[in-house]
Amino acid sequence: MDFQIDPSFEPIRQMLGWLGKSKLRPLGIEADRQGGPLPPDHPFFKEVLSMGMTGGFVGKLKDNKVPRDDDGRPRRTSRRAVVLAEEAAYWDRGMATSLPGPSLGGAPVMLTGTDAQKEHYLGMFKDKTTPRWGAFAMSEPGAGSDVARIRTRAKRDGDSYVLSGEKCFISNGARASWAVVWATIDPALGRSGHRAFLVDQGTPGFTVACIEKKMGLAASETASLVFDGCRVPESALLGGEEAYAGKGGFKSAMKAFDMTRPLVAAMGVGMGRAAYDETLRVARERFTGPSSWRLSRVQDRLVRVRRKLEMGRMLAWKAAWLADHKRPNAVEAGMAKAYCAQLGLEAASLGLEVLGESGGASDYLVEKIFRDVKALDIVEGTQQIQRVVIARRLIGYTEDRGRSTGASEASTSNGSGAKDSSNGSADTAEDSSTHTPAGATHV
Amino acid sequence: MPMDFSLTDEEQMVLDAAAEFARRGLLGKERDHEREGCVSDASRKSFAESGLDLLSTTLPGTNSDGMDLSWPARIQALTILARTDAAAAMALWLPGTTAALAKSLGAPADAVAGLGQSRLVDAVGETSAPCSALPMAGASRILDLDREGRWGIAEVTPSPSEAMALHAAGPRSADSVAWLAQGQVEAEAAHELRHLLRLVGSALLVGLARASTDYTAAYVQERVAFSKPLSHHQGVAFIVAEMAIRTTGCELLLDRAGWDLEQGQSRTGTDAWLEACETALWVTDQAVQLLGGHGYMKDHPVEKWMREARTITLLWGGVDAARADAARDLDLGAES
Ligand SMILES: Cc1cc2nc3c(=O)[nH]c(=O)nc-3n(C[C@H](O)[C@H](O)[C@H](O)COP(=O)(O)OP(=O)(O)OC[C@H]3O[C@@H](n4cnc5c(N)ncnc54)[C@H](O)[C@@H]3O)c2cc1C
Repeated sequence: MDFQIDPSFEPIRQMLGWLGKSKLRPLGIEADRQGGPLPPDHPFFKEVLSMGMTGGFVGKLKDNKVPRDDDGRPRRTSRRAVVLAEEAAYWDRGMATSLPGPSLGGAPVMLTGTDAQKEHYLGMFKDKTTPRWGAFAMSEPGAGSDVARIRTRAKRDGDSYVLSGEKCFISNGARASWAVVWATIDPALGRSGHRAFLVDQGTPGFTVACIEKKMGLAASETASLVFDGCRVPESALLGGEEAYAGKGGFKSAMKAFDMTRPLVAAMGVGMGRAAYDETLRVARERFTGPSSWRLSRVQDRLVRVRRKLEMGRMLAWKAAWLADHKRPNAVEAGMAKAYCAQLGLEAASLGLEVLGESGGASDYLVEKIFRDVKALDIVEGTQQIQRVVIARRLIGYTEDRGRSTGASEASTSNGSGAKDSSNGSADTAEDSSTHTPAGATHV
Repeated sequence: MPMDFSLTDEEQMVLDAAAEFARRGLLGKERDHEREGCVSDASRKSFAESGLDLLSTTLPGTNSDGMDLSWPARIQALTILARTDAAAAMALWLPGTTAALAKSLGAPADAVAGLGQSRLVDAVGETSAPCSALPMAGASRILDLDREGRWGIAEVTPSPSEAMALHAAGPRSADSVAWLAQGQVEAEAAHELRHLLRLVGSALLVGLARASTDYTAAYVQERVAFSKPLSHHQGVAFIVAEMAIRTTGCELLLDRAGWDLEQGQSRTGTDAWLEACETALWVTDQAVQLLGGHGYMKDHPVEKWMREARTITLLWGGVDAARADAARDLDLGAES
């Protein structure tokens, strides 16, 4: 396995490192103290845009098409992306996910959108003067891991659709110029009833209900969205009706996660590394004199974290290497995501133990990382969902079939267990969909 | 060894009073306490009126006001409060306990007044060590006790400090200051007090673990994913079962440690603390995990419990000092 990244890429990583140190980390701390994200008109966003840094997949579209990636030659896209993801999260994961760009909404548009949709919805990010965001709106108060349970309805009415329902936990959802909104045309159809719509901010009937208050990641905006008789034209249907033959629509949602799981894993490594570095810095200051009885306990924790960081990074890189070589990576990506999210938390938690009584003080970065990193274990497929996926692939695990629990459940998800309909599940990735498209950038 | 954890009628009444106070004085006010950085005056008043403050300000066998309750009962009362709001429970309970400890160390009465938090430190030296984000419960004095039996009470000028948790207990920072009073007791006596203090800390953690376990157990039975309640997914069910096993075990170990204290044995206080640390850290994390995205939001209490468990386990020397103290009677020689 070749984990080399070409030397021409190094300056990009260095620039990100510079940005991280001078902006992402201090601004992330500022947002944390204020308890909410920087306002969209904060000068930082313009500045970062002018430097060419974006959040989410913008990729290099050629004639509004994802460049063909089937010439058999390996790419380095995924490996580059994990390196950037680790570096960005090292400085501040909340800030990294709030960089202007299409965010998680970019991937489905890129993979499934019509040429006109790509031109309009991704093309707007070519403008390097006005910060803009996109969003991906799948989760609902009653549906997270099990996306088949979404209840936002899309009703056909002449040549438009009318959306009604609620979305929650949507990253950049309030500041986004548009959101990919997942809805069902008929819950009885299960996943084949799913449709995604590109909904512009300001469309009548589309409102932001609130910005959530969270345990951490204050710099990242997490919004609840309401669609109340929100009328969108037929042309807002992502990819057009033909994209939804069979379970196609659902697949396009899941493809987005296939791309991002190794990146989330790399973020876990980045955050864990930040906790480790800060802990080591303080430990070196404190344990200077004759060796304290605590020293060996402190060392044990640090060497444990250091070796686990290395292991987590290897898992993330392997998943990325497989993707770059167009080999199936569902198991490896799941392993990396499941392992590294927990590793990040462990690094922070053990770091706090080294810092001792004062660890809980916000003067030390580690307590912030502890609060921030927990989210990684939940987003884009929880650790449980990753394990379901891994176990299914490795040992043929099938979950016991669900029993209907009442009228409201009777029509959901074909009674299947957490098989191929879970948020962050890799199980639509039977084919080449595990590959990050060429030219995609994500920090 | 015969052991009897049953409570007297009087003790049961006190526990009922604790439950009643938790319901009326704490429940529903947790986020207000957190935001305001202190326990409301109304809650303080109702705590005093309930008579529970007497439990915290005295040690068994040392009081003369008829509240000579056993350790198991005291610890259970604190656990009940911590189940609702551990930070507020700490703010209400700790100053009294610290003062009682100081008195039993022989500290002069004028130094004892105004004590808030205590610390189990490596060594009490010339000056007191600075503190950072230490929950001071509105007080300005701290008591330090080391393994050799040296103790000191320091007056500090605390400044508010940003902290991860326990806001209701008023986290404060202060630079190194001179001692108000200092003294030394036998190392053995110091160790007894260290074990005892950890038992009190364990009650807070076990309360958090119980709250998290019960809240999660209810949630996973309500919430449906993949056509059935979360509780019917084995991956969820086994975690909740494990949460219950560990929490129940810790509650019993706490009772056991209380019982041992009554018999004049204190070391299990530190054992209970070590188990409570491990359990509370794990259980509160699982609670957030099993609530998924909802667990990460402040609409539910579990994220607060996770922050609190992580912070409380850092106090009183954390697990490192406890492991060293617990190993003391193994007679393997001392760490230098
Ligand atoms: C910071 C943050 C940002 C987010 N951003 C977005 C966004 O931009 N867009 C978006 O659409 N969503 C977003 N989400 C939502 C996220 O995708 C969901 O929270 C996640 O998918 C989990 O869903 P849930 O919260 O409903 O938990 P649930 O699905 O209710 O799960 C609860 C618990 O049950 C477990 N569980 C579920 N099914 C099984 C099973 N079969 N076997 C074993 N265990 C199981 C889960 O692992 C979890 O522990 C965000 C969430 C957070 C916290």
